[in-house]
Amino acid sequence: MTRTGIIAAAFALAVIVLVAVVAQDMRGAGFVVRAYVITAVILALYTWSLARRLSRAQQGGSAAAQQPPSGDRDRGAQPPGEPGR
Amino acid sequence: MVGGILFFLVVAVIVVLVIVYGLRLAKMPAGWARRGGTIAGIAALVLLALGLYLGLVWAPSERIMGDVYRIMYVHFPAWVGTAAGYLTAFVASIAYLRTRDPGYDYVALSGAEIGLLFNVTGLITGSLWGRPTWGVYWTWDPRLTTTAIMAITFAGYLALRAFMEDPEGRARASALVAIVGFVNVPVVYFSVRWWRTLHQVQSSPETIDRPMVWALRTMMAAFLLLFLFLLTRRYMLARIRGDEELEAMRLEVAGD
Repeated sequence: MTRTGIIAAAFALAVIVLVAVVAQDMRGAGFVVRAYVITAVILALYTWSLARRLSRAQQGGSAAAQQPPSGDRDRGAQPPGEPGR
Repeated sequence: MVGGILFFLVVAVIVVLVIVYGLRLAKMPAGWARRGGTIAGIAALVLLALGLYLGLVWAPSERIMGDVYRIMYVHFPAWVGTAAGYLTAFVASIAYLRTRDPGYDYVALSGAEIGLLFNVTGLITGSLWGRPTWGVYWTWDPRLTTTAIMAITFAGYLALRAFMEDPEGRARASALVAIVGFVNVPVVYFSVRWWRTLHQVQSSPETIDRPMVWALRTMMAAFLLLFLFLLTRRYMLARIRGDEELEAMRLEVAGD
């Protein structure tokens, strides 16, 4: 899990707790709580998913950069002793 | 009157800043974009915490709606994020058609995706506000209908991108969809004035209590900063994937 994803999830959780505590005595509390919880969940999920996709893409990019250049790339990826296809 | 002009000027400055940031993003070095995004993200978190306190605790209840009006503090800022996203997609699409620089295509994709995210959030929170105030979650009112059309158009934009393989053809076609789709944004804004609708017209700061205005402004600024953070991160992802795609095509051509 990425740092951004953890921060987004923790913040969303804090928002849910805050609104659940504060809205207890409010008129129409159910709608207020639902609106804030849904917003927090949607935004946190997207941020978490985006951070994960970006982290994977960056790792893939750096792994590709470490591969030997030119046509040796495919041969280098094969386990030793395997015949070439 | 002075407050109204000042508000209009602030909105105009924000619109210009969003356009300039979106266009600069395509030319920005990766390190700068990352740092800029991180700063926007931290600032968004601080302002979100402050705005939530102001909106949920500090601001008083509304005279007629009671506390249900507090949905406004997430509903309206979601539309700020929507407008910023679609505006970015619109401007970057024009820039792409003029220059054919794939960087602008990545900015347009990022703006459209995050705009749609906020658009869906705005529709859901609006429905939750509509039920206790209008008695229904949804009605085919001009404001709601044009907003739903806007969401469907940009969902179509993303679907179109997913189905087209040729990067250049995809960028060109999706740029046209983003430009046509953006035409709906001013229609959505003015729909409450042009037609008889259930949705209220835009309020002005003079008709709202000061604590409510400041809570709303704080949340709007927080959502705008969150938009900039997400836009930057989504752009970085689009850039990496785009470069990989171009590299794969180059290798394929070289292999032939």
